Amino acid sequence: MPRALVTGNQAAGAMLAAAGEANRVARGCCSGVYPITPQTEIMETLTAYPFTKGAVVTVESEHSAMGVCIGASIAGARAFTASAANGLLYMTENVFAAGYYRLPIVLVVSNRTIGPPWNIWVDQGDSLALRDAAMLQFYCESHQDLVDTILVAFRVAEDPRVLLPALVAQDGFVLSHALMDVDLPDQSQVDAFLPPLDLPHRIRRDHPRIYGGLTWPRDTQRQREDIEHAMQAVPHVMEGVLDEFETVFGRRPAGAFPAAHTDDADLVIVACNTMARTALHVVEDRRARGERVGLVRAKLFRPFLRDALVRALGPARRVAVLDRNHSPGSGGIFWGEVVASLAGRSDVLVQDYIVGLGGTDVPHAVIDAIVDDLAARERPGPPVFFEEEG
Amino acid sequence: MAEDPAQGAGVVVTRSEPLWRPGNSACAGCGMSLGLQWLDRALHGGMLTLVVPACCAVATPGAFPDSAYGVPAVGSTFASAPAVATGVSRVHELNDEPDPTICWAGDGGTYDIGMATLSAAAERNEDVIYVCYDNEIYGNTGGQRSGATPAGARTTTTPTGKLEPKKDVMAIMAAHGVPYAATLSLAHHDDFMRKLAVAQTTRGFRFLLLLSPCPAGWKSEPADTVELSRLAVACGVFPLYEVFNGRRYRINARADGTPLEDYLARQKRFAGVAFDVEAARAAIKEKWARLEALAANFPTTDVSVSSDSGHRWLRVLVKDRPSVLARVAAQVSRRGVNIETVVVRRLPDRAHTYITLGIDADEPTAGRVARGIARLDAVVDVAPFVGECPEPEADQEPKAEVRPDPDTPPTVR
Repeated sequence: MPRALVTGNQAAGAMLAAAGEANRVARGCCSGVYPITPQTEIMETLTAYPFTKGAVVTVESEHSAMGVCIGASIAGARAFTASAANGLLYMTENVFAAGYYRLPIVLVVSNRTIGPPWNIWVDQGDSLALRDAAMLQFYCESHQDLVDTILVAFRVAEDPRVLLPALVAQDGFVLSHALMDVDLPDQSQVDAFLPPLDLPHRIRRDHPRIYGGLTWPRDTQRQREDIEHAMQAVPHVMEGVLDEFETVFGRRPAGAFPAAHTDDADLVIVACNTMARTALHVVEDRRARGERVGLVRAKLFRPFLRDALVRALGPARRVAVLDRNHSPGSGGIFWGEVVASLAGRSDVLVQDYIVGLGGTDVPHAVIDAIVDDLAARERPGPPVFFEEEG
Repeated sequence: MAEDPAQGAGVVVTRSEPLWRPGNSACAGCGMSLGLQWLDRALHGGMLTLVVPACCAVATPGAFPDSAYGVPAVGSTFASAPAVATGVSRVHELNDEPDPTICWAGDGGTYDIGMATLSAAAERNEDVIYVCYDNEIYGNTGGQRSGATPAGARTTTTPTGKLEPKKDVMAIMAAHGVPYAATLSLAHHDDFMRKLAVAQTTRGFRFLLLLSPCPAGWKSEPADTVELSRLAVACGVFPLYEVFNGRRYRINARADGTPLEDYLARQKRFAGVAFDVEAARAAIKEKWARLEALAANFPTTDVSVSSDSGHRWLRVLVKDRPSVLARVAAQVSRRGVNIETVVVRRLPDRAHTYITLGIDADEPTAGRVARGIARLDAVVDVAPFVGECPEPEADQEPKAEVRPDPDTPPTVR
């Protein structure tokens, strides 16, 4: 396995390109790309890649970037792109369309704050704003997690039982621009892991069909129900994909809710992306002092596997949800999902902590203070905007 | 991976289904609906992929699981047709599938919401044929003003008549330098077919603007759709012309002195508003002066093949269906020669087709092109002409015998 010192963006670009190149034995790959900080390096990597059977189209907007991916995917090619923040919002209409066409397009997001006012730093509100699209969502904590998850995302998205687009998120700058040492699979390994794409409903010249025509209400409801069934198939499909990943690469990427020290924890932190790495240090420090604290990393956000989360939380009676996002008038988006998962469990105190918005640092001390705050609470309160003292 | 015999590299797929089948719910007298049937005729049974943004052309083919389209069609989001067509066309190219990707979009999707996407696809010179069926209104939503609505027209959002003139989308597309841009009229059948043939033999982005009367929006009689199309050309409102590479303009039909009022009177959208006919006449005059100046250096003004003297022609007789057109055209373009007009005429025996190409080439180059075409296995005969090029008679039988096998060289006269 070749090791490489790369940025998150370089790692993501390399894996998208390798996945596209792997489809040279079938109908090739095609990507529409458009720059936006902090993902630009991904699209630059793609435009520079010497595909054997592929095309990268430098379009005029994110809306068209996804439009090109839709056309390419519906014609049977492997399609992928990257975006962030306002670019992602501009792309949104076509992201919904890609889901409803059931196209396994992979979209990497380098999470960034939505403006105006403009702020290029990390905030997961951009990808979470797409939570109601028919699309899988993965959140990554490290470069290795990102590399592995992109490959897993293609396999799960392209599985005939799923056939939905997949979003893979990394923290802008914190991961996207940081150098880390990773195992970067080479082309032969990617070829071994990713079979040629055979999209069952691609346009065929000998079989006239229309995609995106009219549907009546009842057929529309059935179509949405089919999508829900596809989402429900994800945990089973993903288990099989992770098994195969382990066979090919000799390591097993994390599943939906990787947990640490939750078996006997009184208090558990739920966090995603790089915040979960910092939280793990807090948990381990407190464990060293004999405190029964645990961590659940929310990696798979769509589908949101409520039962799997409850299992991962273990016996804890206190749950701190760290949300690097804000749904005005409601609170944190992960918190809403956790509360819904624990519906009817009055014995568990769930508190929402909104942290790190607009790229505000979330250091060890903040998470430490959050654990103290939760430990002292008698009942949950409204979402708390939490930041470092001073 | 499942084998798909019809998808083989380089294989031209033909179809038996019409492009636009009966059972669609287009209104009586719908210009778009007639345009789709003419498009079908112009493609001579060749396969294509249609990309249609959210508009009447995606609302009228029927609801799931039915569709009036007899070809693969993608209903894209409103502003995305040229982007989606880009993806389809690029993948066709990667897989050596020669059939065209055709966008069929209304004026809302072209002049307004889709303009950025359209401009970018044109600038990238994507291998896409883009047809705008222009009914000068947001028809599917019940008739609101668009950038294509002419001054004076009443719409639901311009109840006293639109103040601003129609956007000149042809000038915008010509400014992109696209290989081919042309206007189409439902009253000029041969011109329509010839321009679609030129479009099919040209690579890169091709923009075609079809004036598409909309009885519901124009408040006109359904039976008047073709007559309104004729009057629009005859009174000079809608000039028929084509632009090669954004530089060479050719006017195909001139106004014949028909009064503007004849065109306006058949549409109630211009009734009951303070419509300044003199201002409209002045605007038409100015538009024509500009167009005539642009077309001044082009040697021909006539749509017919026969009277276009000074040009070099190749009359190609091919076996079977005219889907070999693209391969014939490739033989021309690979030698750096521009095709400036094409007429496709199927012979009554249903087994042979004459393809007449007007090309911009000197004699030795034309000879090389002719020999290249003659090597194609479907080609029976290639005959060069200079100046006068007689139309093949409607009932003419093929003059040359069909070659018994591909090893026998065809005749080059």
